Amino acid sequence: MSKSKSFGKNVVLEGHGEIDSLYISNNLDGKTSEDVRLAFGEIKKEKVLINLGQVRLTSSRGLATLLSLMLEGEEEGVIFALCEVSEPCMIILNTMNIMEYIEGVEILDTTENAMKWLSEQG
Amino acid sequence: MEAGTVTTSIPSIEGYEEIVVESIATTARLFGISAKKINNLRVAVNEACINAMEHGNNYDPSKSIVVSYACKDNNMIVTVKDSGSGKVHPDFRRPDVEEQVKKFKTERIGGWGLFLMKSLVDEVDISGSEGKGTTAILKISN
Repeated sequence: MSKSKSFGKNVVLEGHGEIDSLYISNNLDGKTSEDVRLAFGEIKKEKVLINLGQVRLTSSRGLATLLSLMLEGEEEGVIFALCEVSEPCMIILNTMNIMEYIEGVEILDTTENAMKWLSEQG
Repeated sequence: MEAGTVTTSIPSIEGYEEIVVESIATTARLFGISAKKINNLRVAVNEACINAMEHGNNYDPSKSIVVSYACKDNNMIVTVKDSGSGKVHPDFRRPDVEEQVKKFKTERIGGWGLFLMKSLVDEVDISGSEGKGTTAILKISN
């Protein structure tokens, strides 16, 4: 059974067994990224899925904040999987070559594959 | 559809940029701009609007951003004008993301807006007129 908590209008954190799942939707702007920060504060598990499938628009600031939070989490031993990365997010990730500089974060096409990949870690 | 110019004014409140982004994307689609170019344009216009809100208008909700756009002869031109000081020193160089990632604890990751704009559209021009605001002009060609 999963537990779910919302942060603002665009961020939902769910727990599924050993994995926490963060669902971000609509506009990943400055306000949403602050809600993402609040959600990260409540992540308890060492395996985290971040679903960006419903992000219709993002600013580079919003994505950079998410990146900073992931780097902080990595330092504390959290493993992240990004999945269903929507086109606006992918455009920024690719243009800035961001994933080249981040270790231990995997991008997967579906939630199911991300869950599977995380289950196989550690 | 015959070519025409659309002008929209939005307040410097985050979220309103989405109105112009979607309107521009719809216009571009109606004029036959490719889906890939439209997706890139959406991100670039979004960055231009956020820059105008943040650096031009300091997120003062009483200050407007005027966005004009037109499609003609397979070109789409978008103009984003803020109400700020007009003092501009645009730097389109690629930010050192690797260095930013290394220093993420002490320095903010970001400052990608101008580089993204330049990378995602065919032409970008930023100009300012002291006391009269800064204007970003983005152009894509089909």
